Amino acid sequence: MTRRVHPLFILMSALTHLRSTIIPLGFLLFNDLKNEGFGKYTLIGFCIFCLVLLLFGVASWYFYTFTIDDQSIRVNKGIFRKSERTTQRRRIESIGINQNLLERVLGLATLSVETSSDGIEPEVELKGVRLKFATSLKATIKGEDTQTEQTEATDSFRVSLNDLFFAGALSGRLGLALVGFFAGYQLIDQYIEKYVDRIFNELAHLSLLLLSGLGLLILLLVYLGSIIVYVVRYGSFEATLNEKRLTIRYGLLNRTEVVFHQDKVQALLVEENWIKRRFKRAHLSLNVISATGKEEQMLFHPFIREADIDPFLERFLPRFERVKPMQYAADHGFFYVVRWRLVWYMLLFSAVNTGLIYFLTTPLKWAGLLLYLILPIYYMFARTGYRNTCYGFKQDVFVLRRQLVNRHTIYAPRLKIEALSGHVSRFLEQKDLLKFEINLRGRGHLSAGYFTHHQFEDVRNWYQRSFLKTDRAEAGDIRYDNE
Amino acid sequence: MQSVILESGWQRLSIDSVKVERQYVALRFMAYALLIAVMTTVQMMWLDLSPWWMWIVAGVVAVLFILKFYYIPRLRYDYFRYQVDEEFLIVRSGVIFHHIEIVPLVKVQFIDTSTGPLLRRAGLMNIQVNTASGFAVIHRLEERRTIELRRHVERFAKLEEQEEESL
Repeated sequence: MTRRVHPLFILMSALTHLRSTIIPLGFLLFNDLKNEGFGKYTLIGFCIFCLVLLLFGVASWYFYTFTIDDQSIRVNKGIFRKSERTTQRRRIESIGINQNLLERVLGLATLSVETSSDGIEPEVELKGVRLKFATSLKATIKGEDTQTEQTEATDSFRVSLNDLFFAGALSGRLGLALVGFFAGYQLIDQYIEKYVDRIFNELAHLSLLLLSGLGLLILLLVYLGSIIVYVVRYGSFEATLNEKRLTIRYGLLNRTEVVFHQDKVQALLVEENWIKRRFKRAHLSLNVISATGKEEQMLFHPFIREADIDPFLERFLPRFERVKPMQYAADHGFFYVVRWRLVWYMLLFSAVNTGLIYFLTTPLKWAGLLLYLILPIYYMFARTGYRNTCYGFKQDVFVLRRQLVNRHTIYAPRLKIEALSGHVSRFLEQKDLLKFEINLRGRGHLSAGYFTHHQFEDVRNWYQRSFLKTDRAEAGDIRYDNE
Repeated sequence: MQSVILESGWQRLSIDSVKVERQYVALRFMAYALLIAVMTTVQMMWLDLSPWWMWIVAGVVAVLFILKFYYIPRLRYDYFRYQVDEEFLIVRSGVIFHHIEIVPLVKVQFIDTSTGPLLRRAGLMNIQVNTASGFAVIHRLEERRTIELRRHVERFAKLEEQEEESL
């Protein structure tokens, strides 16, 4: 049966569009208010704009329909440019329910269905459905009763706020937060330019010490902001194992819920950055064709104790038995890993120093030379990291560990590896070196190097076993048309 | 009866692939040469310049032409190998950077074959085998082998994987 989403979708659509124009609109209104107060024409213009948004919302809602039958899910949308998308239900990898703040206020949700296609967006996205309806739709698509799901919950875990706070603090997201800070600044720069100029003029009179203090304070605030963003994003993190289905829910403001079959997990990624390793903690994420459409690596545990990983996996993902990787990267390959990076850093530091020495007249111009101290430190880290780059396999699971400063270990079942490849330049091939790469569904892949050709052959032999149903393959039931 | 393409191990491309690649490069560089000639004429006749810099452009294009016409097709041909066994397609390719890719045939999502006037004349085709994570491509393969390979892969795509669970 063909249905429409909830009529509140109209309001949500209008508010979403209004939100996307809030900065220029706010600036116009503020400017008007500052000059002569709100004029009659400003108010009329604003009302017409809101009305157009509302009418657009009505039209979007009217043409937005969906049909779910035994075989497929079909979504039709578009006012001028019509689109229809049909997805086969048997190809579904995961189903998710997302709620942003606005949707939570209106009691709505977005239901996303993801298949293994290589698109970035979810295959099906139903916006503006009632949360209860989204939950029952999810159950319908999964082909189960909603009541059953609630009563059959077998195991679950929650991540404490404490763990989330520490995970956020040690996740090294300061760089990302700074990028976000400056991107935000760029966005509003044109509206606050004159005020910023004034502030800069005031600051120019301050002493160097005070300026440094101010810089540090901004860094600290951005850092604290990054922790808060992390906690808000992943707050109330909860994973539930129901039969063989994992449901992951998180988010204090924007609530996300994703459900997928345990066997749909493509890989398990254990990330241990340099600081977390000091605390013997790790970050677990799963490679799932996720229904959020935004990230393929879904958080599984942000701050787990190293010693707790094995029992934790045994409870929730018994297939991912951890294997200790014992095959290490070829020692003679290290030089080739760091050489270009070292040259690049050297050139960068030299350019910075040339600039400083040329433009500055104070003794501070020599301060840039300290940058060169980073090179031996980087070399030492890289050396240790390279020595820890390794792989291993056991029965059905392959493990590949890559490390320079941060350590990434990926566990992938053989049957989930879409392709195994080796890459090397002509020059390094003669040195008996190459890099491995394992490709998973979607955009997931991990490469590490350098290993010897003998090691690659070893992995190749392990990988090149039958992928067909064992009974058929062993019985020699592969028949050809011309037989 | 066992398929012909499974009979032996590593397979090479036909030597005609080198010829076709050279023909393609020659055509492309003829177009470049024409463009350079037109640009030079325009600068000399209408802009009244002595465009010495066009010699540099022509020199760079000539070096690229020698590399792409003479060396690269031969290097590509020498290194390129593919192998199809009971369940896997293995492709070894590259000129400066070498790649080896092992693709289980059951993972194949769809297959693209394509051809053009030059390839058709030489009886060659391109085949691209796509999985959910990427693709492996064999350029300038004999038409007979391409069709046979496509059929072989299609047969596997219909078979059941060890696990193909649904939610």
